[in-house]
Amino acid sequence: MSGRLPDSPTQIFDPKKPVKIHFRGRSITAFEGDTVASALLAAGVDTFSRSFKYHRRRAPACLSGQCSRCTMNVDGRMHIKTCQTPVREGMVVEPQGPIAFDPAGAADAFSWAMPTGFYYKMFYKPQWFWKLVKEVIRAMPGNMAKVKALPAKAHFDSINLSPDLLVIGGGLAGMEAAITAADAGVRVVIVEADPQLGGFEAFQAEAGFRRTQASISRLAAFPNITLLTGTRVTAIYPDGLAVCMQESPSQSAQDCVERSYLVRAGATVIATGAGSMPMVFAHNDRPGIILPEAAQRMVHLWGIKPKGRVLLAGGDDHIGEVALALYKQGVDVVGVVDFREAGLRKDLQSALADHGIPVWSSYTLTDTRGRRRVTSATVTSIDGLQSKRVRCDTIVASSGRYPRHKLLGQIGTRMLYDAALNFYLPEQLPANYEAAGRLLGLEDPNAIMRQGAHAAINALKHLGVDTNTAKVAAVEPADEAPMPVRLQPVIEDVQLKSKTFVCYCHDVSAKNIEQAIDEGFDKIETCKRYTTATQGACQGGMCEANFAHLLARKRPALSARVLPTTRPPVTSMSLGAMAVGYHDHPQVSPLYHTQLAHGGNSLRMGSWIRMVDFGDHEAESLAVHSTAGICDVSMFGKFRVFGPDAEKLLNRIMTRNIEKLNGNSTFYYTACNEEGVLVDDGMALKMGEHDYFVTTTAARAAVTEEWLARWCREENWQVNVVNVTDTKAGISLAGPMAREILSKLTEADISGEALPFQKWMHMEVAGVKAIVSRVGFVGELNYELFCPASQGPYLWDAIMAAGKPLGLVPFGIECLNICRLEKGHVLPGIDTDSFTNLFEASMGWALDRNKTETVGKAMLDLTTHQAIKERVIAFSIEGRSPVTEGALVVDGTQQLGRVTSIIYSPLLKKTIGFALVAPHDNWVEGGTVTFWYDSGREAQASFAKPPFYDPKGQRIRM
Amino acid sequence: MAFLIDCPNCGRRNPYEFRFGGECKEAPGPDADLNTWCEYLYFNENMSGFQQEWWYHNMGCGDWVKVRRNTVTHEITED
Amino acid sequence: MATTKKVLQYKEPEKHYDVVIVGGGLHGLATAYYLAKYHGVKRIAVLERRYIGSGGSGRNTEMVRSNKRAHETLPFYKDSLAMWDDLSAELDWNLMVQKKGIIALAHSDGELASMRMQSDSQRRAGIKIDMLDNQQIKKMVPSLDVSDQTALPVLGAQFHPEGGTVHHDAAVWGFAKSAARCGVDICVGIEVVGFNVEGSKVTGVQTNIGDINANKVHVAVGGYSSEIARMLGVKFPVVTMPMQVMTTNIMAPFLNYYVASPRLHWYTQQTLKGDLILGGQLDPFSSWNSYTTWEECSERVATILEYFPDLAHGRVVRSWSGLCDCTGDSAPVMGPSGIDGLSLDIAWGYYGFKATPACGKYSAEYIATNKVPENIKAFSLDRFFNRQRVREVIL
Ligand SMILES: Cc1cc2nc3c(=O)[nH]c(=O)nc-3n(C[C@H](O)[C@H](O)[C@H](O)COP(=O)(O)OP(=O)(O)OC[C@H]3O[C@@H](n4cnc5c(N)ncnc54)[C@H](O)[C@@H]3O)c2cc1C
Ligand code: FES
Ligand SMILES: [Zn+2]
Repeated sequence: MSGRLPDSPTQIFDPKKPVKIHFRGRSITAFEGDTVASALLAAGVDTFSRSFKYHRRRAPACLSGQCSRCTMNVDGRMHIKTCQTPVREGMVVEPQGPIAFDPAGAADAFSWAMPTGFYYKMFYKPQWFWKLVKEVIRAMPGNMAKVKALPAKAHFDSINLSPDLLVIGGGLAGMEAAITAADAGVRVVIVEADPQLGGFEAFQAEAGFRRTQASISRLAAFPNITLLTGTRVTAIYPDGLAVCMQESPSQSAQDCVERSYLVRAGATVIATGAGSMPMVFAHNDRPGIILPEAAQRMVHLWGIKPKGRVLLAGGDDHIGEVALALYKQGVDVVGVVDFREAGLRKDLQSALADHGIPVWSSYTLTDTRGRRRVTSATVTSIDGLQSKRVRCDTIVASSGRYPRHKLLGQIGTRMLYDAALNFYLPEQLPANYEAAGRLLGLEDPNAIMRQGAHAAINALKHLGVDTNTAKVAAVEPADEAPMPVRLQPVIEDVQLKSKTFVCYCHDVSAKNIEQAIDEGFDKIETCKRYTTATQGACQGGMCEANFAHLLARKRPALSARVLPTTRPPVTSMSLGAMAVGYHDHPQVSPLYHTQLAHGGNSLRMGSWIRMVDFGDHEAESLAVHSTAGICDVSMFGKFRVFGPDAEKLLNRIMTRNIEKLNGNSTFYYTACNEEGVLVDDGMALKMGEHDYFVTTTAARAAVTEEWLARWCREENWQVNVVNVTDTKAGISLAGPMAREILSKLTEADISGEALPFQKWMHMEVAGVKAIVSRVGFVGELNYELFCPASQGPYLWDAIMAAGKPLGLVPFGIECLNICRLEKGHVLPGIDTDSFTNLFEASMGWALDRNKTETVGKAMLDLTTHQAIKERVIAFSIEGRSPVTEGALVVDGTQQLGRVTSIIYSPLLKKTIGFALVAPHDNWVEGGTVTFWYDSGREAQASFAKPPFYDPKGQRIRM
Repeated sequence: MAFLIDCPNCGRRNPYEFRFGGECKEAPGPDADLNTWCEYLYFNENMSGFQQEWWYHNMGCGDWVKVRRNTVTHEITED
Repeated sequence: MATTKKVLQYKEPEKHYDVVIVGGGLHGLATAYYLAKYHGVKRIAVLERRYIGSGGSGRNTEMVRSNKRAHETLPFYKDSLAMWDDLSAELDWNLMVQKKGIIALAHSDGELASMRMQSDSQRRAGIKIDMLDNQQIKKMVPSLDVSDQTALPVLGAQFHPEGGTVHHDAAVWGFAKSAARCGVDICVGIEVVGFNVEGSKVTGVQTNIGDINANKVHVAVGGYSSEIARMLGVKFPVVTMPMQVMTTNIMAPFLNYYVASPRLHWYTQQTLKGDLILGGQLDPFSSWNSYTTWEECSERVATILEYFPDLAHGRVVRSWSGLCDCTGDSAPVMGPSGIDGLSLDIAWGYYGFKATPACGKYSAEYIATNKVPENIKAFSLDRFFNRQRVREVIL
C-alpha cells in the first residue's frame, strides 16, 4: 500500500478500498476516507495553488479547513478546500491557474516595487494610463477561478432543524455537552466540521484517540442526538438561526454537492476549539511549512509521513509533544526550536535528548530557502546574534494557540485580550449561548469534559429543564481546573524581513504592515483596509492574531489587541447552497390553464402571470365593441367585509360614502393614503346589512388586507375582513351581445330593468352560483361574475360555448387597456405615481366632501386651494403613433411630465393616452402636447377631454 | 439579543415574517394645519434605542402588533 | 522610517474653529477639503467619533452614476460623476476610478417605459445613456441569462456608459490626506453629543472631551442623522435602515460591467481584485444595527443566480452592512437646517457615495457664501413642508 504508514487505530482511511481521482490529467489512487488534499499529499504533490499577489507556490498549511491554500477546482466547482473534501471515484481535481510554471511568478521578484498601497500612489496620471493599467491588474491575481457552468446534475439542498440544543464542535467538550443534554431528555444536534468526531484529540496519537472513543460510543447510544459530521456552522444570524454547510452530503446522492442545515435551537453550546497561529518569519509560506495540526493529521488520520527531514518550531510544550509523536511514527525529526527562554518541559527535553533530537531554546526561525518546497531554515537566537542553517524538507511551526472565536463575534460577543493569560477570552455571552473547551483556553482533557457538561447544564437551565437529576448534577463545574497560559505569537525584530508573511491570502508582509502604520494607518480597521490583511478568503482566520499583535507592538496604546470585526460567513459558502431556500412563486389565476387552451399569450406582470392577448388585441377590442368579449379578472383583490362596524371601516378608506350604497347596488370607489395620494380603486357591492363585497386592484390586494386590519386594530372595530382573492374566480363579460349570451346560461331575470348598471345579484350561471354585477370599465354592457375558484374554468368554458356562435372572443389585458383608455379610466399606480393626489389624478369627483375621518381627506382639504403640482391629462393623436409610454412631455427646454399610457384604438382610429404633467397653459381643449422620446424625436398630440368613446355613457347602461 | 418580534398570537418570530408598520405616531387632530400634517407624514423620531412601533404579522396570524423594540440591540420589552 | 510620508494625520481638536464638521465620512472630509482649498477657510475641524470612513463611506458598493430621474436634480449628479475623473490627479491619490458602465435590466414593459423616460430625461441633461436589447446585453455580458427561462425574463436594459466604480477607501484616504495638507484638523475619537445654540444661532458643539466653539457647524453624519436631530430637539424626514451586501472569492475576469436589476433589487460587479460584490436591498424595517441576515443574503443570492446560473459554485466569503438614512422621495437633505450657522448634508440613504465630490463642493460653497447653490436647491429641508418633494419615483 502506497507509501503510507502501517495501519493504526487512529487512521480514518481504509487502505482496502482504493478510490481513483484525476489530478492534472493524471490518475491518483487514494483510499476511502481520504480527503482530496491527503490523497494529493500522499502522492507527493507539493504545490496546490499560487498566491494572490506574488504568485508564490502554496500548499496546505492547516489541513483543517482554516487556511485557503489548498483550494482548487473539484468536479467543476471553484475554490473548494481540498482538505475538507472527501475523495470520490472519478473525481476531477484541477488547480486554479498554472501551478508548475507560472509566468506571473515574476511578480515575486518585483515585490519591492509594490509597497503597501502602491496602487493608490501610482498609475493615475494621465487618465488613459490608468485605463490600461487596471486591465493588467485585473488579469494578475493568483488562484483565480474560472466561471463555468456546473454539470447539470449538480444540485444543492437544504434541511431545517429545530432541536432544543445545538452543540457546535464535536470535540471532547462538545460531545460531553451533547451527552449531558441528551441524558436529560432534550433533542440535540451536534455539528462537527471534520468527518470524524473527537476534535483536537482525534489526531493526538493513540492516547488522544482512546480518550475520544469512550465519548463517541456514549454519544452513539442516544437516539435523541442528531450528528452532523463534515459540516461547518458558517454563521449565526441575529434571529438565532445557525446555518451549517455540509459538502458532499452523501456518497449515494452524488449530485447533491452542498447542503445547508438551517438550525433554530432553543440554546447553543459553542465548543469550536482552538487552532494554531502560523509563525512569522521570512519566507514562511513555502510549501512544506505547515502547522502542527497538519502534521498530526497527516500522520495519525491518513498515515502520511511529512516529507523528509522535519524541523519543528514554536513557543509551547505542545510543539515538543508533536515532535515526539512524529518521531515515534518514524519521521526524521531534525530539531525543535523553542522561542522561550525556559524552553520545553523537562520531561519533553529529556525524551527528545534520548532520541538525539536537538532542542534550541531562545531561538526562533528567521528565514527559509527552497524553490518547489522548503529545503532549509535559518534558526537564529532571539537576540539575533547566533544564526545557523538547518537543512529540512518540512517545517512544523506555530507560535501558539488561538481560539476559533468567530461564531462568538456573530452573536455579539467580543473577544478581549487577557494580557496575564496571553489569550483572547470572550465577554459575557447572550443568555442562551454557552462556550466550552479549548475555545476558552483549556488544555486538560478532564477539565474540558467537565466544562462541556457544565455548559450543557447552563443551557438546560435556560431551556427550563430540571437539572437536579442525580446523573446530571454529579458533574462538577469545571472552573476549579486551572487555566493554562496559552502563548500568543511573539514576534522578534529578527523575524521581520521582507517576505515575512502575515496574511497569506493577500500576500501581506510584516513590512507592509509596519509601513502602513508609519503612514498613519494605525487603527486596526484602517490598517486592515489599507494593507488588505485579514480580508482574504480565510477572513483573517490565519492572520488576524499576528496582525493585531504587530499593530499592538508598534502602537502600545493598542495593546488591547482589538481584533477586526467578525462577520458571516466563518467559512465561505457557495451561492448555490445559499439560494436553495428561496422560491419565487408567481400567482396564477384559476383560469390560467383554460385561457392558455384558448390561445392566450401569458406574461409575468408583477406577482401575477396574466394573459396579454389571444393573438390580436386590436381585433379583440373591436369584438368587445361589436359583439362580446370575455376576460379573466380573478387577480383583483376581493374581500368580504361584514360586521357592525363595516361601514366605519370602509368609510375610513374609501373617499366616497359607503352609506350611500343601498341594497343590491355597487359603486366605483377610490382610496387615498394619508397624504391624499391616490393608491387604489375598485368596486364595492352591498351584500346585506353591514355586509359588503369589495374589490381592489391586483397590485394592491396584499396591502389592502393589512390596511383594513390596521384600522380595525387601532379603532377596536367589530368587523370581519375575509380575503377571498384566491377563493374566487372573476370573469368579465362585455359587449353588446353580453346579455344575450348570459341569458342562455341563467334563469334569472337579467333584463336592464331587473339588473341595471351599478346593480348586482346572486344567480346561477350554467349551474354555478355567482355574484354578478354590472360595471362600466370597458365602455360596453358589462357583467362581472365572481364564482368559487374551482368552478371558474367550467364557467368560462360554458360562457365561451354559449357565446361563440354570437361572436364572443376571449381578450387579454392589452385589449382591456384599449377599452379603458377609450373610456378615459385612470389607473392608479399606472397613470399616477406616489405623489399624485386625488385632485391631481383628475378624480376629485370621487371625494365626498362631507365625509370626515377618511384617510387622506385632511390633506386633501388642506391642499384643495393650493396650486396643483401635476395632473393627469388625456391626449389623442390621429392614426398610429410611434410614441411609447415613458415619452417626455416638454415645452422647449422645459420638462413638463411623461406619458403614462398610450395605445392605438382601432375603433377611433386614433392613438390615445394619458400623461402626468405639470400645470401648463396648453392644457385646454385643442391645446398641443409635445412629446420628446427616443433620444430626441418629437411628436405632437392634442389635449383631449375623456372619455373618447360614448361620452354620455349610454352603452354601459344598455 | 436575538432579533425576533413578539407576536401575542404566534410567539417570538423572525422579523421577515412581518411587515414593518413604522414607529407609532399620533395622528394630528381635526384642526391641525398643513405644517403639522407634513411633519406627521414625513418626519420621524427614527429612534436609535427603544421605540414603539407597529408590525403586521403577514406570514403568520395576520394581526397588527405594537412592539417596544430597541432598534440598536433588537431587545424587546413590555412598555 | 523617516522616509515614509504620512498619509493620514490626525490632530487633537482646538477650542475654537471657523467651521466644525460633524462626521468623518466622505461627505465631511470632502466638504472640509473644498472649504480649505477653494474658499480659503483657515480653521476647520472634522470630528469623527470612530475612524474616518467607518460609516457608509467605507461600506458602500462603490457604484457611481447619474441615474436619477427628477430633472431638477440631474445637473447635480452629472456634475458629481464628472468630478470623479479629475480627482485622482487633484488629490494626488489613485481613486481607482473605473467608468466601466452600468447595465440596468428591465423585466417588464412598465420598467422599460420607465427607463426610456429616465434615459430621455438624462439625455436632455446631457448625460450619455443608451437602451439595450437582449442581443446587445448578451454580447456585453455573455454569462447573463437573457432567455425567457428566468423567473422574470430580461426584456432589455438601460446602459449608462459613464457610470462605474471608484474605490471607496481610496476616496476616504485621498480626501483626508489632501484636507489635512490644506490645514484641516481631522480629529478621530471625538463624538459630538450636543450643540450650543444661542438664540437662533449655533455657537459650537459639545463633545466627549468638552465644548468646541465654532462660527459654523456642518452635519455630515450619514445614517446617524436622527441622533443629531435629537440633540437639536427636532426631527428629520428619514428612517434608518441597514443595507446588506456580500463579496465572493476571487474569479477570473468575466464581468466587465456593473449589472443591476432594479426590479429584483440586486446588483453585482467584479472588482479589480476579481471578487464579486453582491447587493443589495434595504432591510424593510428600521434598524441601527449593522448585522447581516440569512433571509436577505439568501434572497439576494438566489435572485442573482437566476440570471447568472454559472455562479452557483461561486462562494461568498464575507457579508456586511451599513446604515442608510432614507427619505420617502429618494433624495437627500442639503443646505440650511433652520438654525443659523448650522448646515446639513444628510439623508443620503444608499446613494450618497457617488455624490461625494458634488456634496463637498456645494456644501463648501453654501457654508462659505451663505447662499444655497442652484444645484442643491431641490434638496432643501423645506421641501417637505411646501409639497416640493423631489419626484424621484421608481416605477
Ligand atoms: C452597504 C451600502 C452600500 C452602498 N452602496 C452605494 C453605492 O454603490 N453608491 C452610492 O453612491 N452610495 C452607496 N451607499 C451610500 C453611501 O455609502 C453613503 O450615502 C455615503 O457613504 C454617505 O457618506 P457620509 O460621509 O455622508 O456618511 P458616512 O460615511 O456614514 O460618515 C458619517 C460619519 O459620521 C460619524 N458620526 C456619526 N455621528 C457622529 C457624532 N455624533 N460625532 C462624531 N461623528 C459622528 C460616523 O462615525 C461616520 O464615520 C451605500 C451604503 C451602504 C450602507
Ligand atoms: S491569511 Fe487569509 S485573510 Fe489573511
Ligand atoms: Zn402572529
